Amino acid sequence: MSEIEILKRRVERELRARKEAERILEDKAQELYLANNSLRVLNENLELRISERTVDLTAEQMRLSALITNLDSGILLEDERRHIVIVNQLFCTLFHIPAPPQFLIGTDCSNSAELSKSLFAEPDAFVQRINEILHKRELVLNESLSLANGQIYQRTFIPLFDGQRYLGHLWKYNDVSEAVHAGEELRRSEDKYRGIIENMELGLMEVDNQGRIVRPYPRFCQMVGYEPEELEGQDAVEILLPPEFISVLDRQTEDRMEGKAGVYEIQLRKKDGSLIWAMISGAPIVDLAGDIVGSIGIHYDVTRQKLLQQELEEARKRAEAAQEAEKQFLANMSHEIRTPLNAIIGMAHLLADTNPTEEQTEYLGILKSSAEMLRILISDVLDLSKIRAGKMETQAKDFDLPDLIRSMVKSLQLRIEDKPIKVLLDIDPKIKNLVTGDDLLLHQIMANLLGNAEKFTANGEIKVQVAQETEPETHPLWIRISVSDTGIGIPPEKHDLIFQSFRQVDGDTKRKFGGTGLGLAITKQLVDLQGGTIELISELGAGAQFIVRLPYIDSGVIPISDKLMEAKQSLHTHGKRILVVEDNYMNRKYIGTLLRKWNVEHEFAFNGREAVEKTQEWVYDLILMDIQMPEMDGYEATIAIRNQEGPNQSIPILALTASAMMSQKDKAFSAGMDDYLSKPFKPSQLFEKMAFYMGAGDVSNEPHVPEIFTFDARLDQQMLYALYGDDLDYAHEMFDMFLNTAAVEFREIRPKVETENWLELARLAHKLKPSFGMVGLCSLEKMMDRIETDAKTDPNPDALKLDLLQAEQYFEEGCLVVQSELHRIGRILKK
Amino acid sequence: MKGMVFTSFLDLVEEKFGYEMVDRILLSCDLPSKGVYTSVGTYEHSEMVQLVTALSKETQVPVSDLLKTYGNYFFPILSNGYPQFITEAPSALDLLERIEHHIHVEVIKLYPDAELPRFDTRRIDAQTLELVYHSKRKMADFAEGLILSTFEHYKEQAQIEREDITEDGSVVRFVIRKA
Repeated sequence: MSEIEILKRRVERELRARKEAERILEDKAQELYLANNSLRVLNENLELRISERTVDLTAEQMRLSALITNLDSGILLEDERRHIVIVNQLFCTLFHIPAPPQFLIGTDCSNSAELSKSLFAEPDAFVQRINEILHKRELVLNESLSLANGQIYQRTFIPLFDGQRYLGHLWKYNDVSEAVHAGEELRRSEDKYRGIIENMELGLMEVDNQGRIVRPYPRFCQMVGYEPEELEGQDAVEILLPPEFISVLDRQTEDRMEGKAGVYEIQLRKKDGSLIWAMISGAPIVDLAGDIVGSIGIHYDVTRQKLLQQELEEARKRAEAAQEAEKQFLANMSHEIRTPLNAIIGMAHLLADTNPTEEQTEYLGILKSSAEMLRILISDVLDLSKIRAGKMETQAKDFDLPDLIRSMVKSLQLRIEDKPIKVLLDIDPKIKNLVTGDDLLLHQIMANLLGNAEKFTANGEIKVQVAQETEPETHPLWIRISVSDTGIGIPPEKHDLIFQSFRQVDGDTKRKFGGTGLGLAITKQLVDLQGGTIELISELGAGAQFIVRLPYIDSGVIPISDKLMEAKQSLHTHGKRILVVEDNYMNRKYIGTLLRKWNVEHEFAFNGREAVEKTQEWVYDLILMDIQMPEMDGYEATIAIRNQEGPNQSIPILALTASAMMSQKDKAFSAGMDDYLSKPFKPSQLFEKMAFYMGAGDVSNEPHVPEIFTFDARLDQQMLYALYGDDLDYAHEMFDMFLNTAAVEFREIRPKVETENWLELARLAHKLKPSFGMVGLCSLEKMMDRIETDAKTDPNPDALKLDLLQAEQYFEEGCLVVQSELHRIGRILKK
Repeated sequence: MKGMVFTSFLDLVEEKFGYEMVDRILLSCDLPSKGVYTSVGTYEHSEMVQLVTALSKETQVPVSDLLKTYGNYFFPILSNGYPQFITEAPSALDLLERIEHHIHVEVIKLYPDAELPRFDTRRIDAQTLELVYHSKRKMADFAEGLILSTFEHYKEQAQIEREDITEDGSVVRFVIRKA
């Protein structure tokens, strides 16, 4: 039974196992089916992707093939067995192959070199090289080949590998004949021009972008004294450029990098260390691709020109300094000379009123006329310098032109009464109205022309004609004034000359007739200043005629009787009081004497401040006011007086100016002054002004004559006079001090020169300079100035020794004079 | 564990002790599979442990001897089923060396869910191979049976030294010296 049961269990187990196995197998089959399915899908996807890739590849190949066919080069692509894969039309053209390229695909090329070798200049070498290239299977780039017909091909060979496997190769040919020939043409042309430039003493040099010398040309090498191989590859700045020019060159280099050319001047250091100046024209060098690869400089040696230029520049500076000094000198003349001259003329006039003896009168006459001559000379020189400096200005006012000419001719007539000369005047009756213009300038012009005629005419006639050239009330109104004489005349070739400064007809004329030779030059300039013309008609021995044409404006006003004359006749000075404001002792003495002589009550103020104080206390009728004074000048004093309440607020103030400059006069008017009188003035001029402002007085009083000490003529009298006036105590003190100090210090100069201690020499000369001036040794003062300048700027031992020798000579002489003057002053002071 | 191991085991029990013994141990055990095994199926390893333990109890033969015997018995089944592995290896040592990196790789391809022991091998010299068995199933005895039958198959003699590296028998070192 149990066995049966066991068997039953076994069968049951096996049955169940079979079913279990079937179930598992069924599951597996299902699993397999699904796996199979997904595999199939995967396979399909793969196929699709492959076909897509194939399409892409075909398109790519076609594009490549089209590209090669249309390339601007002859292309031949061969496979590893040298069968043609691709060839283009240009290749066939280059190798004279008549067949269309597409027919050649697949053709074996093993023998092609042999077939086309006849095209080349060296056929066998061509074949040999092809075989060599094919054997080596290495890249060959742009190899040049000459053809038998002169053309030039360029060849490139590209071997094609897939890893280690050789796939074939590509030949690329280009016809570069034109480019090569053009290049050669360009090079020939460049060489030609470089050659020309080199022959023109222009040195060429090429540098790269780093400033290294790439190509130094022979002429440039000569210029800087190097051999070409010494320069090549060197840093141009390092080897040739002095450091101070680095910044100049840097700026140029920047310009080059931007493609700009430029011209500049720098110094270059030669091999021997010396420097030359070079004018350089630099330009960038641009390669075929348009990139800047360096620059080229054309150098021209301008060392000589530079030196010349420097010398010229120095000469110009010296000339300018001299001109400036001259101007300064003339300006000083105005102030320094007129003041003492004023006194001389004034004193001469006063002296004439002191009942001199006949002999004294004669001497005084000479003194007066000489002083007058000197005043005219100085005025001429000053006028000229003013005109040259552009400081002479014209002033327009209405005046009676015929009357002015008439009075001048009248006075000429009076002057030459005793000469056998007839004076004729002819005035155009059409001139009725006052004209507007500068009467002072016309006065000066006429004075010069009449003076000239008077001077050169011994007998015969002087004729003045005045005509109106244009109709009245036209603008401008041209007036023609002619002054003719029967004098010695002027040869035509000298006509231009006489209008130039310091020129007279000849030296003989100067000796015979005197004068500065400035009169006509000034006249011409005064005429020019007013926009007029001057003309000379003359022949030697046949007299002279000057014709002046001046433009005026017709004022439309008819002249009335002269106010000044009326005033002179109707007014007098009784009970009038004048304040004279003047710091200069000499001027005070001069004016004071005149006023006493004219019986005019007066008081002095020594500067502007004192004048203002006095006007606060007293009542005056007129103030004569100097301009340049210590503490407070004339302008300031006038302004103060005009601004203070009181009886003197609107008193007439007359300026006494040392300068004739318009600017000073204008300033005087704007400060509130009523009129001016420029120094030196004659007693009559002062009298006229006084009469105008307060009425004329009786001229009866005895004038007082001041004593004047005259310094030795070997000293600068003018300077000493200006310095000391008649303050002899002061002069004595200064002369004494000079002999005790400066004379001792002068002895120290020689050792400085001998030891060539220029710095000390300059210092000493500078110190001594004013001491010599103080005793009137002006030549020594100037000498010290020169020694100082030379020692500072250009110490030349030989020249300075010569100067010193001369200075010592002057010094010995000068000291003796100073010594004797010191004694003389001492004697006078003791009296 | 592959069903074939169970079916082969039960075949061996039937062959040695009769189907009555098979029935007895199947009944004495509490098996999730109810003792129904098919060579294409896969079963819990614990069932094999229960079966071997039950057999040992019934027959009074130690488990280790049973497993060794089973290993011996199992070799021909493998060699008949997959003769290409045998022919590829010229000697027993060669075959043993190929288990881990060759045979097991192919087994995994056939049965992706198979849980295989690991055999690390090292040639000490031409005749000597060190083989280290790793498996949480702790069936080194079964492996030893297989090794012995391998040599029998190649008609070679070998001396096998066995050393348990861990106490639980999950890592066991064999040093196999070919005679």
